[in-house]
Amino acid sequence: MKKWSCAVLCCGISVVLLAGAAPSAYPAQSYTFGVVPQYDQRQLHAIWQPILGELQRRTGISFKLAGMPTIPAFERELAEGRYDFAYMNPYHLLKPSKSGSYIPLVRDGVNLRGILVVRKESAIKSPSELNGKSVAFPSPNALGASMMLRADLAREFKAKVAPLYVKTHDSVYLHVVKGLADAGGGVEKTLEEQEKPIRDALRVLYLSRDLPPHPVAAHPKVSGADAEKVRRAFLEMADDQAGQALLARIPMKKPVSTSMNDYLRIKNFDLGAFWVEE
Amino acid sequence: MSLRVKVFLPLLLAIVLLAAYIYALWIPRVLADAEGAYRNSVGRHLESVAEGLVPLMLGKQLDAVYGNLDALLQKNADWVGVRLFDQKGRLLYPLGASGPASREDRPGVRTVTQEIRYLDEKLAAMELKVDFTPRLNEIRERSKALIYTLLAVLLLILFANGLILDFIVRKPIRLLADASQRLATGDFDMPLPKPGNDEVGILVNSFAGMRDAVRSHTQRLSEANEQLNREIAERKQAEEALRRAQEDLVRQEKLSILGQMSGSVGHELRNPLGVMSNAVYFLKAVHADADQTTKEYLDIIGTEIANSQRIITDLLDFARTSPPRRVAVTAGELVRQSLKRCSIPKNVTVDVAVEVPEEPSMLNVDPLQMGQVLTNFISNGVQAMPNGGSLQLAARLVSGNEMEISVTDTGEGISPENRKKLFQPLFTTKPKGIGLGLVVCKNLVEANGGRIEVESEPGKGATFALLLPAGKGGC
Repeated sequence: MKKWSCAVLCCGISVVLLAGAAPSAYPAQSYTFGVVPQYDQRQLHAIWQPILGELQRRTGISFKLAGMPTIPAFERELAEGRYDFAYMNPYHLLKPSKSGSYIPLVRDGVNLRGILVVRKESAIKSPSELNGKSVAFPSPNALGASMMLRADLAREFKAKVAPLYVKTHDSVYLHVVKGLADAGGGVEKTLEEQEKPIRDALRVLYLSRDLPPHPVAAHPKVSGADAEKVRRAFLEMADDQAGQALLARIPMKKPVSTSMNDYLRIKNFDLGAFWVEE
Repeated sequence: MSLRVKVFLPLLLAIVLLAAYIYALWIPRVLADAEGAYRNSVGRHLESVAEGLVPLMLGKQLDAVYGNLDALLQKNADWVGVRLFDQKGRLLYPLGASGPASREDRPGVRTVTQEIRYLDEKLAAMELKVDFTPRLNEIRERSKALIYTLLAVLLLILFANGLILDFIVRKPIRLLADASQRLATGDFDMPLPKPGNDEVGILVNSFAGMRDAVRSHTQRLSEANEQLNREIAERKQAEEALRRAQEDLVRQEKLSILGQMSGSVGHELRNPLGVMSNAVYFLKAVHADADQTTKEYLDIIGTEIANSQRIITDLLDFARTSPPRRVAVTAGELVRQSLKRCSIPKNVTVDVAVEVPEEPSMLNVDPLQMGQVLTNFISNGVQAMPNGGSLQLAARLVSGNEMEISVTDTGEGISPENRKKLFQPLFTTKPKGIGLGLVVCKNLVEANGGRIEVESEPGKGATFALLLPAGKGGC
């Protein structure tokens, strides 16, 4: 009789222990993760879905990659606080939001710079020569690739250009390469991500001032503990080769912890006039 | 040309023509249809691609266009190149001037174009290079496999039909042909193939019916032929009997005339011959001292007179056969008396042997007539051996009521032709005979209830046997 009692007790303890271990395998919490659509949707999913899987593995938190077909749609969702976490344009952090400002967690250690590119054989040697020309931009409100450059073109070079918004950085570079636009606005990082034939076909005409790159930010509604888990997970991913390879595709080769202080200086650029409501 | 060749040569030709038709016309048509269908399919696919590219083109998402077209090129292995031109004809895709020239220059590569339109505005135009070769090769190989299978099945069917034709038609026909040949030789018991419910079966049944009819007719003809042969034989026998009767009649007529004439002539000559015999006797007696030559001539005259008297006697015997006076006499007595009456020429050496059973066997015959017969047989035997030989006389009881007395010589024998004529009147092989001796003997023996049997082998002699009734009876 005593033996049976011991066996039942052991089974009960085992069940309790297994039940305690279950949350790590089946996370109860699930967060929505939004990504600014710099690339086409397939490419975005190809880049971010493995990263979110790795984050889940490291944090025990479940993430769902949100659909974001266009930047305006992304911005609308962002303004309404629909994403629990988001990889966004720095200017998005500075935009006032009814749902509360997102809190930056990590960013790439290297600042981004807006660039103006022309075809390698183009006769244009100075941004001022772009006056009256068509210039492709990903979207009106892309901070480095659009707002900064349009501001500099207008203010520094007095060049009035015909903007051609082509949704993504890749599309910008292709438009320039194919002669559909006289110049294009992008950032250094995305140009480096282009295939060699595209890079070889382009020439950087102008470099803007540097800016803190796109952050991964958390909505205030996300618990601080979970946000911290995500931050640590990103930082720790850089410690091994597999994680580095995943982050490099964002691109975020050297993730560093960040805060709103890093982005407040953008306000000094006075780019409000170049923000376009979509 | 055999039946098999006649039946299957057209089928084989049809198969060859079918194969030629399939190769020359059907496969090219199938390939053309397949190419058309594939072109339509690619066209429809390209239309859907164009539809998908419309929002991207409107949104100027060239990278997304690149991504889509790259993905399509990767997914569709037979798409060797895609070009996208904007409304001004500028090349938007691919990045370089064109795709791999070597792939696009293949013979099987076709170009399909599709405009990308939104409402009434032409946004771009796509030019797709599709390699039809794998699809057409696949269809070609599938068609060939189908044809080979079809041909193999047809040939198999042809072969199977050949076997069936052999079994159902050729074998029965051969059997029927063999049966016909055997039927021609009169063999009606030949095996026939088992008749089925088809035309060959009808033929077999017809042949069997014909065989039975021929057998029946042949049997009737055979019976009729036998009947005819019998009738012919009977007719021949009748004719032969008639001929013999006629001959006998003629012979009897002749013999009757001859008998009458012999009797008259013999009677008339006997007396002069007796006078001449007496005269010779007188002359011998009167001229006992005559010279030798005269004596010899007298002997010759005497001998010739004796011969003439014997001939006269034969003629008279022939003309007048007196009824036998039968008495019981032994065979030995008959043989010995006959031997005494015979004289063997001195210049001929003849060994005479007599073999008569010691137990006296009695004969019921006329001893004079039978002695005359035996004497005739002995004289003939001695004359048949001019160079000498042996003469055997034997008597033996053949059966209870018949005794045989035979005279066997070792002379020249009698030829079969002569043996048939032995007992014909006037037939003789002797230079001085008149051919009546054996006729007289035959008549005498038959008058005594006996018969004569002759056996002879040319060159080895002859046996004349008397078969006479035994017994002690008398007249």
